Amino acid sequence: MASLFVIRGRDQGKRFQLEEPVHTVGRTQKSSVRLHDTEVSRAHAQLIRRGESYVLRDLGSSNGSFVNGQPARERELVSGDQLQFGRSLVLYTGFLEEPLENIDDKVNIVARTDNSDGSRIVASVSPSEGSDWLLTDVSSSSSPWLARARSNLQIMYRTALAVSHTMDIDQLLARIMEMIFEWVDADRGCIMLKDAETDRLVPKVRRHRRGLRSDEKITISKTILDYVVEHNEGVLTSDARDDERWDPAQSIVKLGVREAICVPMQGRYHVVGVIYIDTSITPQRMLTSDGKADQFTEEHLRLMIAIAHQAALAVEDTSYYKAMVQAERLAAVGQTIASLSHHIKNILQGVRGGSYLIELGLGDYDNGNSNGDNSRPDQSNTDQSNADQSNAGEANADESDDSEAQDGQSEADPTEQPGARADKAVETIRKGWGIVERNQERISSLVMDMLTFSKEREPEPVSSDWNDLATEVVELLQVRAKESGVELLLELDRAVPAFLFDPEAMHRAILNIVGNAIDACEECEAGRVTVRSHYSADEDVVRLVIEDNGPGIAPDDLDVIFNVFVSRKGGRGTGLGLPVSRKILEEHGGQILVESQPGKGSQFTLELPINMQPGDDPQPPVGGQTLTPP
Amino acid sequence: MSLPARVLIVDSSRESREILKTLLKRQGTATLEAANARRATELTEQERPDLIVYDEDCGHTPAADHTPVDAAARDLGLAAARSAIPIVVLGTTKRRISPIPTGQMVAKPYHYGLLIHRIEELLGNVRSQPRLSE
Repeated sequence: MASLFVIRGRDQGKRFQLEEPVHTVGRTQKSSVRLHDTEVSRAHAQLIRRGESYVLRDLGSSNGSFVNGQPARERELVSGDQLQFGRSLVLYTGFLEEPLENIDDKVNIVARTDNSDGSRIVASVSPSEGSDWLLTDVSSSSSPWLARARSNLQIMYRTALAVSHTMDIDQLLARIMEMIFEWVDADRGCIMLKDAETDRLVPKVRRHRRGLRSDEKITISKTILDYVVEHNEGVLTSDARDDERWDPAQSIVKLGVREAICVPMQGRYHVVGVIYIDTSITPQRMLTSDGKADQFTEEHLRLMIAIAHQAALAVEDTSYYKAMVQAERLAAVGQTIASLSHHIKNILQGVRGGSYLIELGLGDYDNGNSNGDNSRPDQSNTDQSNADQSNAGEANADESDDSEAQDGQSEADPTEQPGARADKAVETIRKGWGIVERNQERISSLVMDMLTFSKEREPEPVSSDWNDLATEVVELLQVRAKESGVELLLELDRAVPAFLFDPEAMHRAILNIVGNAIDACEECEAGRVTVRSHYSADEDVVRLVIEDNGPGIAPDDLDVIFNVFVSRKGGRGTGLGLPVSRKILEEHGGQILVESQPGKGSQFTLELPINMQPGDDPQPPVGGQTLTPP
Repeated sequence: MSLPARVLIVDSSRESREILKTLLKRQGTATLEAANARRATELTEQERPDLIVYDEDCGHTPAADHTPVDAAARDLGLAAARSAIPIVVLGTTKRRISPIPTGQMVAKPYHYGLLIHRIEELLGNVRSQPRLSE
């Protein structure tokens, strides 16, 4: 599927899938590609599907649409195109191309040469030899023309090598500058890159001829830089005074530059910077040499342009890669926050529900007592502090309700005994309180999971009893199971030895998995969760098998349940429980195995190897092996 | 005297259903429950409740992919629309991406007092108008 990925701007990290025949880009809600960018028009542009690609059409937007830096009214897009709307930069990815044509049957590989093909091998060169040839000293060549050609080829080859071997831009530029200096006789050189934000050229690398004072500032004529960037042309200036193009500013003259080469670093999309080298021929130097040694030629210029292009591609790749990483990271942070706030919102909703019930219960209680105080002085709850309230005439808010409620009677039914009414109020309060407490537990569980997930922590193993831990968790969850109408069973294998593990961490893992099992069974007719411990002496492995008869896990979901923030529990799941549990098991050198049959239930197995250490023998320690207290 | 109003609560969380059920019961409103949209659609067609309260967390994975295009929820929305049953959708902030765009949107976290008030209001409207299907 085709998509747009925002790599710069307020929507950075957002991805738009393109599936409709026409998508509108704009800043209003109506736009299917909505950019939160004030420089984007309301209806800025359209993306129109044409066969296997999209065509960008500008809808007369005030700031225009750009494809790879060029203004575009209507342009067919290809994968990798960068579209700019206002301040937002968007990467277009097209449809998957047709699978490559199978050419197996169009090329024949035969075992031996037949008569019609009289080819024979006349020379062979291995790839490394071929490359070596490019790297050998050029002066050994037979003809001067070949020597020069080889010298040029060599530098291109080395440029290609340099740009393919690094992701660090500064390092890459330094190497390119170094190569240029080896190849051409320049006095000073400098590479400048365009700053992405300000568009100004910022010097990145500078270099001087050996022997020249290196603390001397390189002053570069702005006239040349502007010309190069604006016209996207490399220039060779040999005598500036003769060239009328430089006249207006006269800066070259003042700087005394005799010869300079300045080339744009033209990448795939933009000019990303310039490379500049110069040499000044002083009268002394003119005398000592034949006057030719320092001269730059057009060949130098051409080669410099080629080198700059290579460098620019590498710079673009690197910054593009960085932008992608940054965008992906932002998207991940956004998703994390969205997931967490969603979950916290649900907990908050639970707390609100519980508190509201308590509030109502308290109100009922007050009303019940005040009514009861007048009508039934003999009520049992006389010890209540507000029993003497005298607003008896005030109608209970619920009294207007008829007792017709079909699904049980209204809580403050006036026909009830006041004592019973107070009991009901207390029941409401208790119900509310239970909900508040459960959600409190949820918050703490969420925080614990987040901590476990974020920390790189080493387990703190102490010799512990696996069965005890399982029993503890099952007892803890018995209440929750009962509330959910799920039967929670425990079957212990007494052969499980005590061994070294981090009981606190493992408690979390077991709690998460058993809790999940209970949740899975919540809507079942006769939900049942069985927790079974097991020790395999042969493998020296301890297991805890948690089996439920819930709806099971869809085969597709099995692959993703351990991913962070993937939850199939709707509002109740954080998407942290399983990844956290797996992390804990893995920290112990163990694993979690899952089997599931949709419609029948799931089985999670926590498997832990026993790396028994001396003194942790399951048998009671003998004699001197016990620790002596200090 | 009219029959008591019946509200269908659709929420995957038993606890949330419990809270709403308790609160509605206090108002003399009867409730039906469903843990998912599919079951809710069945109940809607069989029982014809007066109102549906649907929690958006029921069908899709939250925040996993922001495309809560949930066929089951959509069916529920259509079933409700067919019988002219008003539907309150909890948790939505954007009608545009909701599978039930015809619903009354209530953003989370909401206040229960206000939610009950809203439900009562809608029930009042329903009770004063004869059902289209009848």
